[in-house]
Amino acid sequence: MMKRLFALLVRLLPAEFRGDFGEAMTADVDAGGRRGVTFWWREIRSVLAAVVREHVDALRHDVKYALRMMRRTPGFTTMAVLMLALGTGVNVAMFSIVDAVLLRSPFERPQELVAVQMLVKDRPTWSVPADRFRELARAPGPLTAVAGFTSGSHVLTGQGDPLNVDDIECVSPGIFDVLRTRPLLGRTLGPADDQPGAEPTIVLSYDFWRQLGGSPGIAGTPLTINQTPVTVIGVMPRGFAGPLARADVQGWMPYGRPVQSADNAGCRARPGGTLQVIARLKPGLSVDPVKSALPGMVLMPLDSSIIDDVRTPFTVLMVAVGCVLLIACFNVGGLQMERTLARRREMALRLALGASRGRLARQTLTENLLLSLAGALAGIAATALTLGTVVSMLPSNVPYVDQVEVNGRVLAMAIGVAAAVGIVAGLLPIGETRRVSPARDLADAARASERRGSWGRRVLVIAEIALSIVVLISAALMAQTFLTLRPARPGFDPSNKVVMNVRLRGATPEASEEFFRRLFERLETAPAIQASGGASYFPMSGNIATTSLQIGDTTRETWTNYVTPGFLALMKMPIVAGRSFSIGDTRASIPVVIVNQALASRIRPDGQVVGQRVLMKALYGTEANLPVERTIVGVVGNTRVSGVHTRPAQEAFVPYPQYPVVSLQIVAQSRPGHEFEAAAEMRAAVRELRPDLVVAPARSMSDLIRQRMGSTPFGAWLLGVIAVLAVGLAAIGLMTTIGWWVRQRTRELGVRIALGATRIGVTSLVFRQGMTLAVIGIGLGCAIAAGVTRYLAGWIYGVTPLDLATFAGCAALMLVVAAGAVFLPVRRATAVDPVVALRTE
Amino acid sequence: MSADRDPHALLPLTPAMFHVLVALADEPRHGYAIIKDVSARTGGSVELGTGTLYGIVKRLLAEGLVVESRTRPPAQDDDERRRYYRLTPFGKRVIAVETDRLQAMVDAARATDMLRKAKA
Repeated sequence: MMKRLFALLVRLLPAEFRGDFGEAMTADVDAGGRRGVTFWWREIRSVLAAVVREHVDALRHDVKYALRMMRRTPGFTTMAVLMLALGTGVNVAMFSIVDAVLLRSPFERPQELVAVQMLVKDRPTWSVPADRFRELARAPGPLTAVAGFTSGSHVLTGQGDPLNVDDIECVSPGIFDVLRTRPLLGRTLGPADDQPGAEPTIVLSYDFWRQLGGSPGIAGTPLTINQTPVTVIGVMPRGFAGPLARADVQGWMPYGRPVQSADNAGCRARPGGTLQVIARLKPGLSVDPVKSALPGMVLMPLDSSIIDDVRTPFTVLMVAVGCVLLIACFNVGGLQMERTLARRREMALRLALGASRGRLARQTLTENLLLSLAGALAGIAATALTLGTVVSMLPSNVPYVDQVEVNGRVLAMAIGVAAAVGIVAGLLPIGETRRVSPARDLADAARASERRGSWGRRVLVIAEIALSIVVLISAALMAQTFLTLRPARPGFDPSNKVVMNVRLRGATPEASEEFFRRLFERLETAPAIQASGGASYFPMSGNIATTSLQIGDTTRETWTNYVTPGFLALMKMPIVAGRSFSIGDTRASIPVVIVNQALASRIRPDGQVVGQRVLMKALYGTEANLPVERTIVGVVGNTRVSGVHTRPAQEAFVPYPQYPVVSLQIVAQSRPGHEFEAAAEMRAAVRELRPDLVVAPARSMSDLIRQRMGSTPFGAWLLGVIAVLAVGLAAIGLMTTIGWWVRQRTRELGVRIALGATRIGVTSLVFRQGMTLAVIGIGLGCAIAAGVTRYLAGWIYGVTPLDLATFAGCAALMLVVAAGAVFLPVRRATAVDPVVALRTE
Repeated sequence: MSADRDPHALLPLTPAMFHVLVALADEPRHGYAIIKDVSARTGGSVELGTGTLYGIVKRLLAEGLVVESRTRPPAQDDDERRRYYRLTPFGKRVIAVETDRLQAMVDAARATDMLRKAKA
């Protein structure tokens, strides 16, 4: 038995050492008859030590040799490291973003966190009635902790201009236990803070605390919210943005002790109101069995309800950068193979001198691993330097975007990728070392290296071109989407517009109608304002209201905007069918509604909906249960929803006079270049009518939208850059492959020229070689793209996933790039001097 | 090749290396014979494992201190898997200078009062 173990250990020794001494070692152990335990103990230990020592020694030699080889060909080394740095760099950058946004949760044990939703008519909704929440909190069943939250609008005074604070979450104190997050300063809310008579308290978010001066002694000091002194009791750590990870959240106040002002500012904490509810499952429980214990409720993993919106874009981007890396790998693999072939003679010599084939393969692998490691290091360094810029281009509504960093996980991923790259790029060259034969290659190295390995390299180039065209087509589809929807053409015109939110808390519909009528009258006479209008929200503002809309038997939830008659014209939203609103649409006239194209095509596939009647019912609010039958009088063009979503929402527009809401976004068209004056005039007009009303300063609509979208449509922008990298790398691959083909055939080309072949003949010969590969690659790539672009369907807009023009355009572009890449080797081929070429024989 | 090399450049040898060279001083030996010889010379205090031995042999071969010997015993006494090694002239010079170096160290130690008294 011990002999068997010994033989096994000997097999673990490096092949060369084993070849030199393996048999002798076995013979030594066999000599001298039976051996005792001490002998075997010593032998096994000694062989084990030798296994480690000899492998380390061989590796050291390989690394030294590889470094020498890399220094000897600085051009190749630089190019390979640069390509791999690029490939690894984009992957590290993208992974660090994906890691923060999709993979990492700021919460402890995130898999236990769930959103508790109500089933209303078999559809889950976030709104849980307050009573139901209290029942659940009393008897949580399979949940360890339950917490509810809602939002509301607050007014902060005493900090410069009065401020509408719209992002304070009103929470049940248990929320910090559910999320298991500790405060950075002070304490979080406790049950005592949640009592109706308690002293009002607030916990601030990190960013809002910084905005208020960031004093470390802020705990215990008061803020004036809704004219009431509220004590700051704590500050949450950076990156904590409440249960929904809303980056602009400002603080948390107890739901049970709201601070309401006389004009109704404060939490939406009415009796009979609703809350959003989250909970933590008991450890080890999964969502499914728990469902049955809570009838009428649905549990959804909290994470998925936050990140679902951005999962597709980031998955697409991750796949795209993966393609770039693969292309870089193939390029380096192809170059390595060329080098392996060029070094056949040297390798044959080493084989003849007793090196094993395994050793040669290991040598090649070591070189590749060193190259990819160097590439990875360069890539990580480049990422660390540029990540901040890339992240700043992401829209701020991407969750967790402030937590992107190059951390241990990202580094581990980069090293893992580098290792995989080294192996992938090494496969072909290693295959080539196996074909080295001392007898043949030493005798005639020049001839032996001809026409070898070329099919392998061609396959690589075809794969590269195919991959790059898939990325290119995806990017082109995305680019068209964003061209259709770029800020200049989001379906409305935000230029020269100033927006101010005016909220008449607690006003009756009649009073608010009267107020807004007088306000618009005043704005008409303001010198810097050309036109004005109002809506309950403006496109891309992010604040929406939903209504249930019933046609026949089907009910659907739609966004509903209550707009003044001139609003659609003011926003330059085109009426594509029927009519717009007029001043004749009043409370006394028949109730009407205008739908957007997205909703129209859902109601009837052909979109012919004018004249149709629908039953509309607000889901919340005072008229929640009063359905109104409205006639569709027009269809308006779609508008863009946000920077991330490109699919338009289904929207309905109701004339404001037929449904006077208390809060309007007042939009004023300023004279070009007079936005500032227009803003001042709006504020003055409101002050004149209601001096006591707190209003936030008016802001430029373009600024608001830009802020909401991020500075660039990030997905298209990033994918475009990635596509350029992919195409560039594939072009380099094609160029080097054809260049190599020309070098291999220098002699043949020389003979052809000597025998009278024309320059054009040689050109077309080489050109044909290159373009054949390009055409096969493009065809293959288009076929693959046709299969995968449908995954982009939810993300592209204004163009179908199989858009013929896009496919054709990308193929044509790729052909041009390929022709350019082949041009250089062609020139070299036609410059072959037959005398020199034949002399090399 | 090794004729013009300075044997001092390899000093000091590790004890195990020295023992292996000494075992080869009088005649070519195969691995097992070297292990037994070292054990016998050191009264059993140095027992080389094969992994250690051949690691040393590899190094000695690379440094040119030993070579594989072609002279082998008659077939009936031989195991063809075995390898025989002998010292090269350079190896002989190295072992000589190393012995001198060790001797000088021992002499210096013996010259101290403490060790003289201990011996007396």
